[in-house]
Amino acid sequence: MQDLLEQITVCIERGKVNGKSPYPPDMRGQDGADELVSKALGAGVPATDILERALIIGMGNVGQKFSENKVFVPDLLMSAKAMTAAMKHLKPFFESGQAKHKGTFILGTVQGDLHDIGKNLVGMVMEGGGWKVVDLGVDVSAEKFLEALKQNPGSVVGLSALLTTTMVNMEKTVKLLKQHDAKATVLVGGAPLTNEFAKKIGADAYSPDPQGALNYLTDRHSRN
Amino acid sequence: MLGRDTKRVAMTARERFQYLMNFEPVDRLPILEWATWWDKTIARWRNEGLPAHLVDAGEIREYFGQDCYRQLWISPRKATLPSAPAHGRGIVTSLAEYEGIKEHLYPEAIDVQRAREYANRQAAGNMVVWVTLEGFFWYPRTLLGIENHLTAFYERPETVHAMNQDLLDFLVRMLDVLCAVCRPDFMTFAEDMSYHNGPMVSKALFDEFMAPYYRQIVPKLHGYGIIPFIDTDGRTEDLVPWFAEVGIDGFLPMERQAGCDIVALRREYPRLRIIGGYDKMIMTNGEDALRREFERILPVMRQGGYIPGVDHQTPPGVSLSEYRTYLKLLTEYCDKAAS
Repeated sequence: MQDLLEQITVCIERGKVNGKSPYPPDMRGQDGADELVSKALGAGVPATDILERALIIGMGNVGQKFSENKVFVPDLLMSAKAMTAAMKHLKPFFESGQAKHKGTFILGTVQGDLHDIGKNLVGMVMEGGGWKVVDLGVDVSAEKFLEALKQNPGSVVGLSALLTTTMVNMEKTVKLLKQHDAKATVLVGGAPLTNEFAKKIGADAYSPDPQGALNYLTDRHSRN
Repeated sequence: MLGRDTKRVAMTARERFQYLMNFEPVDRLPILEWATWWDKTIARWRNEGLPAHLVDAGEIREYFGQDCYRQLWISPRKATLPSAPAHGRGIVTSLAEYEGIKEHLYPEAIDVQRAREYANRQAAGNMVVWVTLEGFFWYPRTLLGIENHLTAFYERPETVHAMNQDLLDFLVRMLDVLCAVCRPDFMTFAEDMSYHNGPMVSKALFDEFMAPYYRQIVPKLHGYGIIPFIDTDGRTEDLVPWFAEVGIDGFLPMERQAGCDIVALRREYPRLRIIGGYDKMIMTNGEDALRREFERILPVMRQGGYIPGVDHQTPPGVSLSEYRTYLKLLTEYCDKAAS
Protein backbone atom coordinates (compact mmCIF):
# COMPACT_ATOMS: atom_id res chain seq x y z
CA MET A 1 0.00 0.00 0.00
CA GLN A 2 2.79 2.36 0.92
CA ASP A 3 4.34 1.94 -2.51
CA LEU A 4 1.07 2.85 -4.20
CA LEU A 5 0.65 5.95 -2.02
CA GLU A 6 4.20 7.01 -2.80
CA GLN A 7 3.55 6.62 -6.52
CA ILE A 8 0.42 8.79 -6.20
CA THR A 9 2.43 11.41 -4.32
CA VAL A 10 4.97 11.50 -7.15
CA CYS A 11 2.21 11.86 -9.74
CA ILE A 12 0.69 14.81 -7.90
CA GLU A 13 4.02 16.49 -7.32
CA ARG A 14 5.16 16.06 -10.91
CA GLY A 15 1.81 16.70 -12.58
CA LYS A 16 1.25 13.24 -14.07
CA VAL A 17 -2.50 13.31 -14.71
CA ASN A 18 -3.13 9.96 -16.39
CA GLY A 19 -1.58 7.32 -18.62
CA LYS A 20 -2.34 9.25 -21.80
CA SER A 21 -0.77 12.46 -20.60
CA PRO A 22 2.47 13.30 -22.46
CA TYR A 23 3.79 15.11 -19.41
CA PRO A 24 6.21 14.67 -17.77
CA PRO A 25 8.17 13.14 -20.67
CA ASP A 26 10.12 10.73 -18.45
CA MET A 27 6.83 9.26 -17.14
CA ARG A 28 5.23 8.83 -20.56
CA GLY A 29 3.19 5.63 -20.81
CA GLN A 30 3.03 5.17 -17.04
CA ASP A 31 -0.13 5.32 -14.98
CA GLY A 32 -1.01 8.73 -13.61
CA ALA A 33 -2.88 9.99 -10.57
CA ASP A 34 -6.17 9.03 -12.20
CA GLU A 35 -5.36 5.30 -12.58
CA LEU A 36 -3.33 4.96 -9.39
CA VAL A 37 -6.02 6.39 -7.12
CA SER A 38 -8.53 4.08 -8.75
CA LYS A 39 -6.17 1.14 -8.15
CA ALA A 40 -5.60 2.16 -4.54
CA LEU A 41 -9.32 2.30 -3.81
CA GLY A 42 -9.75 -1.05 -5.54
CA ALA A 43 -7.04 -2.49 -3.31
CA GLY A 44 -8.96 -1.30 -0.26
CA VAL A 45 -6.86 1.70 0.69
CA PRO A 46 -9.12 4.06 2.67
CA ALA A 47 -9.96 7.32 0.91
CA THR A 48 -8.72 9.27 3.94
CA ASP A 49 -5.30 7.62 3.64
CA ILE A 50 -5.11 8.46 -0.06
CA LEU A 51 -5.97 12.06 0.73
CA GLU A 52 -3.73 12.56 3.73
CA ARG A 53 -0.81 10.26 2.95
CA ALA A 54 -0.50 10.96 -0.78
CA LEU A 55 -2.48 13.84 -2.27
CA ILE A 56 -1.91 16.43 0.46
CA ILE A 57 1.77 15.50 0.68
CA GLY A 58 2.29 15.73 -3.09
CA MET A 59 0.48 19.04 -3.40
CA GLY A 60 2.26 20.37 -0.31
CA ASN A 61 5.62 19.49 -1.81
CA VAL A 62 4.91 21.31 -5.07
CA GLY A 63 3.35 24.26 -3.24
CA GLN A 64 6.46 24.60 -1.10
CA LYS A 65 8.74 24.44 -4.13
CA PHE A 66 6.58 27.07 -5.82
CA SER A 67 7.02 29.36 -2.80
CA GLU A 68 10.75 28.94 -3.16
CA ASN A 69 10.73 29.57 -6.95
CA LYS A 70 12.03 26.05 -7.53
CA VAL A 71 9.05 25.27 -9.74
CA PHE A 72 6.84 27.70 -11.66
CA VAL A 73 3.20 28.35 -12.47
CA PRO A 74 2.92 25.72 -15.25
CA ASP A 75 4.22 23.06 -12.84
CA LEU A 76 1.71 24.03 -10.17
CA LEU A 77 -1.10 23.94 -12.73
CA MET A 78 -0.09 20.47 -13.89
CA SER A 79 -0.04 19.26 -10.29
CA ALA A 80 -3.50 20.74 -9.81
CA LYS A 81 -4.71 18.86 -12.88
CA ALA A 82 -3.38 15.62 -11.42
CA MET A 83 -5.05 16.48 -8.11
CA THR A 84 -8.38 17.05 -9.85
CA ALA A 85 -8.08 13.67 -11.60
CA ALA A 86 -7.42 12.03 -8.23
CA MET A 87 -10.17 13.86 -6.34
CA LYS A 88 -12.77 12.74 -8.87
CA HIS A 89 -12.43 9.23 -7.40
CA LEU A 90 -12.65 10.48 -3.80
CA LYS A 91 -15.75 12.60 -4.30
CA PRO A 92 -18.24 9.84 -3.28
CA PHE A 93 -16.34 9.34 -0.01
CA PHE A 94 -16.64 13.04 0.84
CA GLU A 95 -20.33 12.96 -0.03
CA SER A 96 -20.92 9.95 2.22
CA GLY A 97 -18.91 11.45 5.07
CA GLN A 98 -16.24 8.72 5.02
CA ALA A 99 -13.70 11.38 4.16
CA LYS A 100 -13.74 14.88 5.59
CA HIS A 101 -12.36 18.22 4.48
CA LYS A 102 -10.28 20.25 6.89
CA GLY A 103 -12.71 23.11 6.48
CA THR A 104 -14.32 25.32 3.88
CA PHE A 105 -12.41 28.09 2.14
CA ILE A 106 -14.50 30.72 0.36
CA LEU A 107 -12.49 32.41 -2.34
CA GLY A 108 -12.95 35.26 -4.80
CA THR A 109 -11.42 38.25 -6.53
CA VAL A 110 -12.88 41.45 -5.12
CA GLN A 111 -15.30 43.75 -6.87
CA GLY A 112 -13.97 45.59 -9.91
CA ASP A 113 -11.15 43.11 -10.53
CA LEU A 114 -11.34 40.47 -13.25
CA HIS A 115 -7.96 38.80 -12.66
CA ASP A 116 -8.17 35.24 -11.50
CA ILE A 117 -4.92 33.33 -12.00
CA GLY A 118 -3.63 34.18 -8.50
CA LYS A 119 -6.98 33.31 -6.95
CA ASN A 120 -7.13 30.05 -8.89
CA LEU A 121 -3.66 29.01 -7.75
CA VAL A 122 -4.65 29.63 -4.14
CA GLY A 123 -7.80 27.54 -4.68
CA MET A 124 -5.78 24.68 -6.15
CA VAL A 125 -3.29 24.65 -3.27
CA MET A 126 -6.05 24.88 -0.66
CA GLU A 127 -7.93 22.01 -2.26
CA GLY A 128 -4.68 20.08 -2.42
CA GLY A 129 -4.31 20.78 1.28
CA GLY A 130 -7.60 19.07 2.05
CA TRP A 131 -9.91 22.09 2.11
CA LYS A 132 -13.27 22.33 0.40
CA VAL A 133 -13.07 25.38 -1.85
CA VAL A 134 -16.07 27.53 -2.69
CA ASP A 135 -14.87 29.70 -5.57
CA LEU A 136 -17.06 32.75 -6.09
CA GLY A 137 -15.15 33.85 -9.20
CA VAL A 138 -14.10 37.37 -10.09
CA ASP A 139 -15.59 40.82 -9.54
CA VAL A 140 -17.25 39.61 -6.33
CA SER A 141 -19.13 42.15 -4.21
CA ALA A 142 -18.80 42.35 -0.44
CA GLU A 143 -22.43 41.30 -0.17
CA LYS A 144 -21.80 38.16 -2.20
CA PHE A 145 -18.90 37.17 0.07
CA LEU A 146 -21.17 37.72 3.08
CA GLU A 147 -23.92 35.62 1.55
CA ALA A 148 -21.44 32.77 0.97
CA LEU A 149 -20.21 33.01 4.57
CA LYS A 150 -23.78 32.84 5.85
CA GLN A 151 -24.34 29.72 3.74
CA ASN A 152 -21.10 28.17 5.01
CA PRO A 153 -20.79 29.19 8.66
CA GLY A 154 -17.32 28.88 10.15
CA SER A 155 -15.61 29.07 6.77
CA VAL A 156 -12.40 30.93 6.11
CA VAL A 157 -12.63 33.66 3.46
CA GLY A 158 -9.85 34.50 0.99
CA LEU A 159 -9.88 37.79 -0.93
CA SER A 160 -7.72 38.42 -3.98
CA ALA A 161 -6.88 41.64 -5.86
CA LEU A 162 -4.30 42.40 -8.52
CA LEU A 163 -4.77 46.12 -9.01
CA THR A 164 -4.16 49.22 -6.95
CA THR A 165 -7.55 50.34 -8.21
CA THR A 166 -9.36 47.38 -6.65
CA MET A 167 -7.38 46.56 -3.51
CA VAL A 168 -9.33 49.34 -1.81
CA ASN A 169 -12.49 47.27 -2.23
CA MET A 170 -11.06 44.68 0.15
CA GLU A 171 -11.56 46.96 3.14
CA LYS A 172 -15.31 47.18 2.61
CA THR A 173 -15.54 43.39 2.29
CA VAL A 174 -13.49 42.69 5.43
CA LYS A 175 -15.55 45.19 7.38
CA LEU A 176 -18.84 43.63 6.28
CA LEU A 177 -17.67 40.08 7.08
CA LYS A 178 -16.35 41.06 10.50
CA GLN A 179 -19.56 42.94 11.29
CA HIS A 180 -21.45 39.74 10.61
CA ASP A 181 -19.02 37.57 12.55
CA ALA A 182 -16.14 39.16 14.42
CA LYS A 183 -14.44 35.75 14.61
CA ALA A 184 -14.59 35.13 10.86
CA THR A 185 -11.12 34.55 9.46
CA VAL A 186 -10.28 36.60 6.38
CA LEU A 187 -7.06 36.15 4.40
CA VAL A 188 -5.95 38.54 1.66
CA GLY A 189 -3.46 38.27 -1.17
CA GLY A 190 -2.43 39.86 -4.45
CA ALA A 191 0.33 41.81 -6.10
CA PRO A 192 -0.17 45.29 -4.60
CA LEU A 193 -0.79 44.06 -1.04
CA THR A 194 1.43 44.08 2.02
CA ASN A 195 1.19 42.91 5.61
CA GLU A 196 0.70 46.52 6.65
CA PHE A 197 -2.22 46.94 4.28
CA ALA A 198 -3.78 43.70 5.53
CA LYS A 199 -3.53 44.88 9.13
CA LYS A 200 -4.86 48.31 8.25
CA ILE A 201 -8.04 46.91 6.71
CA GLY A 202 -8.59 44.42 9.54
CA ALA A 203 -7.75 41.20 7.69
CA ASP A 204 -6.38 38.32 9.75
CA ALA A 205 -3.44 37.55 7.49
CA TYR A 206 -1.71 38.36 4.22
CA SER A 207 0.15 35.75 2.25
CA PRO A 208 2.50 36.45 -0.66
CA ASP A 209 1.91 33.00 -2.13
CA PRO A 210 -0.67 30.14 -2.03
CA GLN A 211 1.35 27.83 0.19
CA GLY A 212 1.72 30.63 2.74
CA ALA A 213 -2.07 30.83 3.03
CA LEU A 214 -2.33 27.07 3.52
CA ASN A 215 0.51 27.05 6.06
CA TYR A 216 -1.16 29.84 8.02
CA LEU A 217 -4.37 27.85 8.32
CA THR A 218 -2.54 24.60 9.10
CA ASP A 219 -0.56 26.30 11.88
CA ARG A 220 -3.69 27.87 13.29
CA HIS A 221 -5.51 24.55 13.11
CA SER A 222 -2.72 22.76 14.97
CA ARG A 223 -2.73 25.41 17.72
CA ASN A 224 -6.49 25.08 18.31
CA MET B 1 28.17 62.01 -14.89
CA LEU B 2 25.35 63.02 -17.23
CA GLY B 3 25.69 66.77 -17.11
CA ARG B 4 27.36 68.75 -19.83
CA ASP B 5 30.55 70.56 -18.85
CA THR B 6 29.64 73.66 -20.82
CA LYS B 7 26.56 75.81 -20.35
CA ARG B 8 23.60 73.53 -20.97
CA VAL B 9 21.78 73.98 -24.24
CA ALA B 10 18.14 72.94 -24.41
CA MET B 11 17.72 69.73 -26.36
CA THR B 12 14.73 68.54 -28.31
CA ALA B 13 12.71 65.70 -26.81
CA ARG B 14 14.22 63.30 -29.32
CA GLU B 15 17.82 64.43 -28.81
CA ARG B 16 17.36 64.14 -25.07
CA PHE B 17 16.05 60.59 -25.37
CA GLN B 18 18.74 59.47 -27.80
CA TYR B 19 21.62 60.95 -25.82
CA LEU B 20 20.28 59.64 -22.52
CA MET B 21 19.82 56.12 -23.83
CA ASN B 22 23.39 56.21 -25.14
CA PHE B 23 24.61 57.24 -21.67
CA GLU B 24 25.72 60.62 -23.03
CA PRO B 25 25.26 64.06 -21.41
CA VAL B 26 21.81 65.67 -21.56
CA ASP B 27 20.35 69.06 -20.63
CA ARG B 28 17.94 67.30 -18.26
CA LEU B 29 16.36 63.89 -18.02
CA PRO B 30 13.13 63.33 -19.98
CA ILE B 31 9.97 64.01 -18.01
CA LEU B 32 7.67 61.21 -18.95
CA GLU B 33 4.76 59.20 -17.68
CA TRP B 34 5.30 56.11 -19.80
CA ALA B 35 1.95 54.49 -18.98
CA THR B 36 -1.43 56.07 -19.47
CA TRP B 37 -3.42 56.77 -16.32
CA TRP B 38 -6.17 54.63 -14.88
CA ASP B 39 -9.66 55.82 -15.84
CA LYS B 40 -10.43 56.12 -12.13
CA THR B 41 -7.39 58.33 -11.59
CA ILE B 42 -8.41 60.63 -14.44
CA ALA B 43 -12.03 60.72 -13.22
CA ARG B 44 -10.83 61.78 -9.79
CA TRP B 45 -8.54 64.44 -11.21
CA ARG B 46 -11.34 65.88 -13.33
CA ASN B 47 -13.18 66.63 -10.10
CA GLU B 48 -10.01 68.23 -8.79
CA GLY B 49 -9.39 70.53 -11.75
CA LEU B 50 -8.02 68.53 -14.68
CA PRO B 51 -9.65 70.19 -17.74
CA ALA B 52 -12.45 68.11 -19.19
CA HIS B 53 -11.44 68.73 -22.80
CA LEU B 54 -8.22 66.76 -22.36
CA VAL B 55 -9.05 63.22 -23.39
CA ASP B 56 -6.06 61.79 -25.19
CA ALA B 57 -3.19 60.60 -22.96
CA GLY B 58 -0.73 62.55 -25.11
CA GLU B 59 -2.68 65.75 -24.53
CA ILE B 60 -2.74 65.12 -20.80
CA ARG B 61 1.01 64.46 -20.76
CA GLU B 62 1.62 67.74 -22.53
CA TYR B 63 -0.80 69.58 -20.20
CA PHE B 64 1.45 68.44 -17.36
CA GLY B 65 4.48 69.76 -19.27
CA GLN B 66 5.92 66.34 -20.05
CA ASP B 67 8.11 65.49 -23.03
CA CYS B 68 6.27 64.47 -26.17
CA TYR B 69 6.13 60.71 -26.76
CA ARG B 70 3.74 58.82 -28.97
CA GLN B 71 3.17 55.09 -29.10
CA LEU B 72 2.27 52.89 -32.05
CA TRP B 73 0.97 49.37 -31.34
CA ILE B 74 1.28 46.82 -34.11
CA SER B 75 -1.41 44.26 -33.44
CA PRO B 76 -1.32 40.82 -35.08
CA ARG B 77 -5.13 40.73 -35.02
CA LYS B 78 -7.66 41.77 -37.60
CA ALA B 79 -10.86 43.48 -36.45
CA THR B 80 -12.77 40.32 -37.37
CA LEU B 81 -11.07 38.17 -34.71
CA PRO B 82 -13.64 36.87 -32.20
CA SER B 83 -13.31 38.14 -28.65
CA ALA B 84 -12.44 35.91 -25.72
CA PRO B 85 -15.54 34.89 -23.73
CA ALA B 86 -14.17 36.47 -20.54
CA HIS B 87 -11.08 38.15 -19.18
CA GLY B 88 -8.14 35.74 -19.21
CA ARG B 89 -9.93 33.12 -21.30
CA GLY B 90 -8.72 32.01 -24.70
CA ILE B 91 -10.30 31.76 -28.12
CA VAL B 92 -8.59 28.51 -29.20
CA THR B 93 -7.56 25.34 -27.40
CA SER B 94 -5.53 23.46 -30.00
CA LEU B 95 -3.33 23.75 -33.06
CA ALA B 96 -6.28 22.82 -35.31
CA GLU B 97 -8.43 25.58 -33.82
CA TYR B 98 -5.57 28.04 -34.19
CA GLU B 99 -5.22 27.14 -37.87
CA GLY B 100 -8.96 27.73 -38.16
CA ILE B 101 -8.78 31.35 -36.97
CA LYS B 102 -5.65 32.40 -38.84
CA GLU B 103 -7.70 34.21 -41.45
CA HIS B 104 -8.48 36.71 -38.65
CA LEU B 105 -4.83 37.20 -37.75
CA TYR B 106 -1.76 38.86 -39.24
CA PRO B 107 -3.08 41.88 -41.14
CA GLU B 108 -0.81 43.04 -43.93
CA ALA B 109 -1.15 46.76 -43.21
CA ILE B 110 -0.36 49.25 -40.47
CA ASP B 111 -1.67 52.77 -39.87
CA VAL B 112 0.74 54.38 -42.33
CA GLN B 113 -0.88 57.79 -42.11
CA ARG B 114 -0.32 58.02 -38.39
CA ALA B 115 3.21 56.65 -38.69
CA ARG B 116 3.99 59.29 -41.31
CA GLU B 117 2.56 62.05 -39.12
CA TYR B 118 4.71 60.87 -36.20
CA ALA B 119 7.76 60.62 -38.46
CA ASN B 120 7.40 64.27 -39.45
CA ARG B 121 7.28 65.43 -35.83
CA GLN B 122 10.07 63.04 -34.95
CA ALA B 123 12.25 64.49 -37.74
CA ALA B 124 11.69 67.97 -36.31
CA GLY B 125 12.86 66.61 -32.95
CA ASN B 126 9.56 67.31 -31.22
CA MET B 127 8.54 63.75 -30.63
CA VAL B 128 9.98 60.43 -29.50
CA VAL B 129 8.30 57.53 -31.25
CA TRP B 130 7.76 54.28 -29.43
CA VAL B 131 6.35 51.14 -30.99
CA THR B 132 4.90 48.23 -29.03
CA LEU B 133 4.96 44.68 -30.35
CA GLU B 134 3.42 41.69 -28.67
CA GLY B 135 5.97 39.36 -27.14
CA PHE B 136 6.42 35.62 -27.47
CA PHE B 137 4.96 34.95 -24.02
CA TRP B 138 2.10 37.47 -24.25
CA TYR B 139 0.77 36.62 -27.68
CA PRO B 140 0.04 32.87 -27.33
CA ARG B 141 -1.54 33.66 -23.96
CA THR B 142 -4.06 35.99 -25.61
CA LEU B 143 -5.09 33.19 -27.96
CA LEU B 144 -5.04 30.26 -25.54
CA GLY B 145 -6.09 32.00 -22.32
CA ILE B 146 -3.94 32.35 -19.23
CA GLU B 147 -4.10 28.86 -17.73
CA ASN B 148 -4.28 26.90 -20.97
CA HIS B 149 -1.29 28.81 -22.26
CA LEU B 150 0.76 27.91 -19.20
CA THR B 151 -0.06 24.22 -19.43
CA ALA B 152 0.34 24.24 -23.23
CA PHE B 153 4.10 24.51 -22.73
CA TYR B 154 3.89 20.93 -21.45
CA GLU B 155 0.80 19.53 -23.14
CA ARG B 156 0.69 21.25 -26.55
CA PRO B 157 4.18 22.59 -27.26
CA GLU B 158 3.66 22.47 -31.03
CA THR B 159 0.77 24.92 -30.71
CA VAL B 160 2.88 27.48 -28.86
CA HIS B 161 5.71 27.15 -31.37
CA ALA B 162 3.35 27.54 -34.34
CA MET B 163 1.90 30.73 -32.87
CA ASN B 164 5.31 32.19 -32.12
CA GLN B 165 6.75 31.34 -35.53
CA ASP B 166 3.79 33.03 -37.22
CA LEU B 167 4.12 36.01 -34.89
CA LEU B 168 7.82 36.32 -35.68
CA ASP B 169 7.18 36.26 -39.44
CA PHE B 170 4.47 38.89 -39.02
CA LEU B 171 6.62 41.18 -36.89
CA VAL B 172 9.53 41.00 -39.31
CA ARG B 173 7.24 41.93 -42.22
CA MET B 174 5.55 44.76 -40.35
CA LEU B 175 8.79 46.23 -39.08
CA ASP B 176 9.94 46.62 -42.65
CA VAL B 177 6.63 48.30 -43.55
CA LEU B 178 6.79 50.62 -40.54
CA CYS B 179 10.45 51.51 -40.86
CA ALA B 180 9.99 52.49 -44.50
CA VAL B 181 7.83 55.31 -43.12
CA CYS B 182 8.98 55.92 -39.55
CA ARG B 183 11.84 54.49 -37.50
CA PRO B 184 10.80 54.37 -33.85
CA ASP B 185 13.34 55.49 -31.27
CA PHE B 186 12.58 52.59 -28.99
CA MET B 187 10.15 49.75 -28.67
CA THR B 188 8.61 47.59 -26.00
CA PHE B 189 7.63 43.96 -26.18
CA ALA B 190 4.42 43.55 -24.21
CA GLU B 191 5.12 40.46 -22.10
CA ASP B 192 3.89 40.57 -18.49
CA MET B 193 5.59 37.27 -17.77
CA SER B 194 6.42 37.92 -14.14
CA TYR B 195 4.38 38.37 -10.98
CA HIS B 196 5.29 39.69 -7.57
CA ASN B 197 7.50 36.68 -6.69
CA GLY B 198 9.35 36.39 -10.02
CA PRO B 199 8.94 34.82 -13.48
CA MET B 200 5.84 32.74 -14.15
CA VAL B 201 7.88 30.23 -16.13
CA SER B 202 11.26 28.58 -15.77
CA LYS B 203 14.42 29.48 -17.66
CA ALA B 204 14.12 26.16 -19.49
CA LEU B 205 10.68 27.11 -20.84
CA PHE B 206 11.97 30.57 -21.77
CA ASP B 207 14.89 28.99 -23.65
CA GLU B 208 12.64 26.60 -25.52
CA PHE B 209 9.60 28.71 -26.35
CA MET B 210 10.67 32.36 -26.37
CA ALA B 211 14.42 32.80 -26.76
CA PRO B 212 14.66 31.34 -30.32
CA TYR B 213 12.19 33.94 -31.61
CA TYR B 214 13.78 36.83 -29.72
CA ARG B 215 17.15 35.84 -31.16
CA GLN B 216 15.73 36.45 -34.64
CA ILE B 217 13.77 39.67 -34.08
CA VAL B 218 16.21 41.57 -31.84
CA PRO B 219 19.01 41.88 -34.46
CA LYS B 220 16.38 43.20 -36.87
CA LEU B 221 15.41 45.89 -34.35
CA HIS B 222 19.00 46.79 -33.67
CA GLY B 223 19.57 46.98 -37.42
CA TYR B 224 16.92 49.69 -37.59
CA GLY B 225 18.48 51.53 -34.62
CA ILE B 226 15.54 50.71 -32.34
CA ILE B 227 16.24 50.05 -28.66
CA PRO B 228 14.23 47.00 -27.50
CA PHE B 229 12.67 46.99 -24.03
CA ILE B 230 10.64 44.32 -22.25
CA ASP B 231 7.45 45.52 -20.59
CA THR B 232 6.73 43.12 -17.75
CA ASP B 233 5.06 43.92 -14.45
CA GLY B 234 6.08 42.28 -11.21
CA ARG B 235 9.48 41.14 -10.03
CA THR B 236 11.82 41.20 -13.01
CA GLU B 237 15.30 40.74 -11.53
CA ASP B 238 15.56 37.10 -12.59
CA LEU B 239 14.42 37.93 -16.12
CA VAL B 240 17.11 40.54 -16.80
CA PRO B 241 19.90 38.04 -17.53
CA TRP B 242 17.54 35.79 -19.51
CA PHE B 243 16.61 38.61 -21.86
CA ALA B 244 20.15 39.98 -21.92
CA GLU B 245 21.19 36.68 -23.50
CA VAL B 246 18.87 37.36 -26.45
CA GLY B 247 19.99 40.97 -26.88
CA ILE B 248 17.28 42.95 -25.10
CA ASP B 249 18.55 46.35 -23.88
CA GLY B 250 16.00 47.52 -21.35
CA PHE B 251 13.09 46.92 -19.00
CA LEU B 252 10.06 48.71 -17.68
CA PRO B 253 8.28 49.37 -15.31
CA MET B 254 10.43 47.83 -12.53
CA GLU B 255 7.84 47.71 -9.76
CA ARG B 256 9.34 48.55 -6.41
CA GLN B 257 6.58 46.84 -4.47
CA ALA B 258 7.43 43.57 -6.24
CA GLY B 259 11.00 43.94 -5.01
CA CYS B 260 12.67 45.52 -8.06
CA ASP B 261 15.72 47.45 -6.94
CA ILE B 262 17.07 49.47 -9.84
CA VAL B 263 20.08 50.67 -7.86
CA ALA B 264 21.22 47.10 -7.21
CA LEU B 265 20.36 46.01 -10.75
CA ARG B 266 22.48 48.78 -12.23
CA ARG B 267 25.45 47.67 -10.17
CA GLU B 268 25.15 44.25 -11.76
CA TYR B 269 24.14 45.42 -15.25
CA PRO B 270 25.73 48.85 -15.83
CA ARG B 271 24.36 49.23 -19.38
CA LEU B 272 20.81 48.10 -18.64
CA ARG B 273 18.30 50.68 -19.87
CA ILE B 274 15.41 51.29 -17.48
CA ILE B 275 12.13 53.21 -17.54
CA GLY B 276 9.99 53.49 -14.40
CA GLY B 277 11.29 52.31 -11.02
CA TYR B 278 9.61 55.03 -8.90
CA ASP B 279 7.44 53.46 -6.19
CA LYS B 280 3.82 54.35 -6.94
CA MET B 281 2.73 53.11 -3.53
CA ILE B 282 4.35 56.03 -1.68
CA MET B 283 2.75 58.78 -3.72
CA THR B 284 0.15 59.55 -1.05
CA ASN B 285 2.69 59.70 1.77
CA GLY B 286 3.59 63.38 1.48
CA GLU B 287 6.38 65.43 -0.06
CA ASP B 288 9.12 64.16 2.23
CA ALA B 289 8.40 60.57 1.25
CA LEU B 290 8.31 61.51 -2.42
CA ARG B 291 11.67 63.24 -2.04
CA ARG B 292 13.19 60.25 -0.25
CA GLU B 293 12.12 58.04 -3.14
CA PHE B 294 13.80 60.38 -5.62
CA GLU B 295 16.95 60.36 -3.49
CA ARG B 296 16.89 56.54 -3.63
CA ILE B 297 16.90 56.48 -7.43
CA LEU B 298 19.08 59.56 -7.98
CA PRO B 299 22.31 57.55 -8.37
CA VAL B 300 20.78 55.69 -11.32
CA MET B 301 19.36 58.92 -12.75
CA ARG B 302 22.89 60.32 -12.77
CA GLN B 303 24.30 57.31 -14.62
CA GLY B 304 22.21 57.73 -17.78
CA GLY B 305 20.18 55.17 -19.69
CA TYR B 306 17.32 55.65 -17.25
CA ILE B 307 14.05 57.57 -17.43
CA PRO B 308 12.48 57.82 -13.97
CA GLY B 309 8.74 57.28 -13.82
CA VAL B 310 5.90 55.83 -11.82
CA ASP B 311 6.42 52.06 -11.73
CA HIS B 312 3.09 51.39 -13.43
CA GLN B 313 -0.01 53.51 -13.51
CA THR B 314 -0.61 56.20 -10.90
CA PRO B 315 -3.15 54.75 -8.42
CA PRO B 316 -6.53 56.46 -8.09
CA GLY B 317 -5.77 57.14 -4.43
CA VAL B 318 -3.34 59.85 -5.60
CA SER B 319 -4.91 63.31 -5.74
CA LEU B 320 -4.17 65.80 -8.48
CA SER B 321 -2.38 67.94 -5.92
CA GLU B 322 -0.20 65.00 -4.86
CA TYR B 323 0.54 64.23 -8.50
CA ARG B 324 1.57 67.83 -9.09
CA THR B 325 3.94 67.57 -6.13
CA TYR B 326 5.39 64.43 -7.69
CA LEU B 327 5.85 66.27 -11.01
CA LYS B 328 7.47 69.25 -9.29
CA LEU B 329 10.01 66.95 -7.67
CA LEU B 330 10.45 64.91 -10.85
CA THR B 331 11.36 68.11 -12.70
CA GLU B 332 13.71 69.15 -9.93
CA TYR B 333 15.50 65.78 -9.86
CA CYS B 334 15.61 65.41 -13.66
CA ASP B 335 17.46 68.70 -13.70
CA LYS B 336 19.63 67.81 -10.72
CA ALA B 337 20.67 64.48 -12.22
CA ALA B 338 22.01 66.20 -15.32
CA SER B 339 23.84 68.99 -13.51
